[in-house]
Amino acid sequence: MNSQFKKGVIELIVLRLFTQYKLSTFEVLEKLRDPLEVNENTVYPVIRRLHAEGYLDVEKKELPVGAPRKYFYATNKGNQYVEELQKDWRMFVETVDHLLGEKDE
Amino acid sequence: MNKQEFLAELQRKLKEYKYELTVIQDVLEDHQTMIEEAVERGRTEEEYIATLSTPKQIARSLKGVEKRNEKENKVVKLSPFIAIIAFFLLGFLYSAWHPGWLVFLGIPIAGVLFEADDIGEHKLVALSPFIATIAFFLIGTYNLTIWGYTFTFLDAWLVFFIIPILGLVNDKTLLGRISLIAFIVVPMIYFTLQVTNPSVYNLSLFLILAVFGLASGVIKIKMDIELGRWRESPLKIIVVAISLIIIAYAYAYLGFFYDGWHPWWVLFLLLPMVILFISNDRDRQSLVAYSPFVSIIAFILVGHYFNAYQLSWLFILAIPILGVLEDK
Repeated sequence: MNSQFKKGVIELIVLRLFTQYKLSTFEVLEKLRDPLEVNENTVYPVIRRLHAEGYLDVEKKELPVGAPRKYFYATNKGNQYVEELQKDWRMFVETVDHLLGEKDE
Repeated sequence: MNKQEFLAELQRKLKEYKYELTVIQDVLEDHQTMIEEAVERGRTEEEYIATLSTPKQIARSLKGVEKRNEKENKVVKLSPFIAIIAFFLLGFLYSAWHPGWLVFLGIPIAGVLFEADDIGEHKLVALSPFIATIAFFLIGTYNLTIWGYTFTFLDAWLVFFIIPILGLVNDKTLLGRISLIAFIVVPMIYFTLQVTNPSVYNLSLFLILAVFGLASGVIKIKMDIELGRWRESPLKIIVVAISLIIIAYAYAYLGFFYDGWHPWWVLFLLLPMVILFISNDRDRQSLVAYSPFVSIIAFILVGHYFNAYQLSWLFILAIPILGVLEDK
């Protein structure tokens, strides 16, 4: 898939995942790598930003050894934002489809 | 690449991009846990790391997300140029080539002040050699007079005791405390004796300090000073320190005996070259990195001894030329 397309929607997809599950960065990457052919350097910064901007919260699980695991989930703010993004996305797709369809005629 | 190598490389790249220390720590931890999770699910470190982005890509991808210490970085980058300008102004306008060359010590000082964030309380210790050198030459050259006593180079060298004194300030052990007092008191006693009753034998007082110095491990403290990325290797700090001493002696020799204060201050430009040479960073191993120093040395020496500054400045052009040639 065109990488420019992916960049735009990755935020929506990532945030949507976090509204459904509590996931670690590792797990998100596993879920998205094959279907979207995205690299870590596309996904990881998005997660960090969403967290910094308060759309995600983190639950830490302490381990006997090593650093605690971080599991992210969407906050209320994140849930609202994802609705907006989804609405925008649907409208955008419709518009694009419409424009492409017009050209065919 | 295994986990250790990957994380080490990632740390280096993140530092290169000047992210804040907490961010670097955080990103490293995230990647460590990612790799651990992969291993738990039956993959090898190498296999999983191959699916990740490269450390460089990761560092770059955070540019829009995380803050960087760019402003400080600019001061450090500009410091050589500011130093050169200040030096020439002092030299040509006030004929103060010596001790005007001291402005070049502003370059490492700027580096320590703005870049070496991770050395924390050692910052003052890392700065002390430069401060001491500046004080030494200023006191010695301008023969500062206080309370009717005129200081010369013969007294000025005492300021170098500021280095072990600052090194010892953080040593909270009893021996460290006693050593600290000794390093302050002994030079004072020596100085008093020299003023009232000058004698070479007064120097024997410093034997006391040699004992304390060894016992309290001043030498160890000096090795522990973590200067930026050399912290893996105390050996490198020793190499740099020895180079500095050799250069300083050579310069003092040429200065006192051949009145070569100018232009032989260029010897000090060898020091950053030594630092470049022993640093691991491949980016810094290129010719471009050495070119400013080599160019200035050539410019000054040819200009001075052939009285041809009007031609020798062309050497300076080698810097941008090499930069263009090596730019990929």
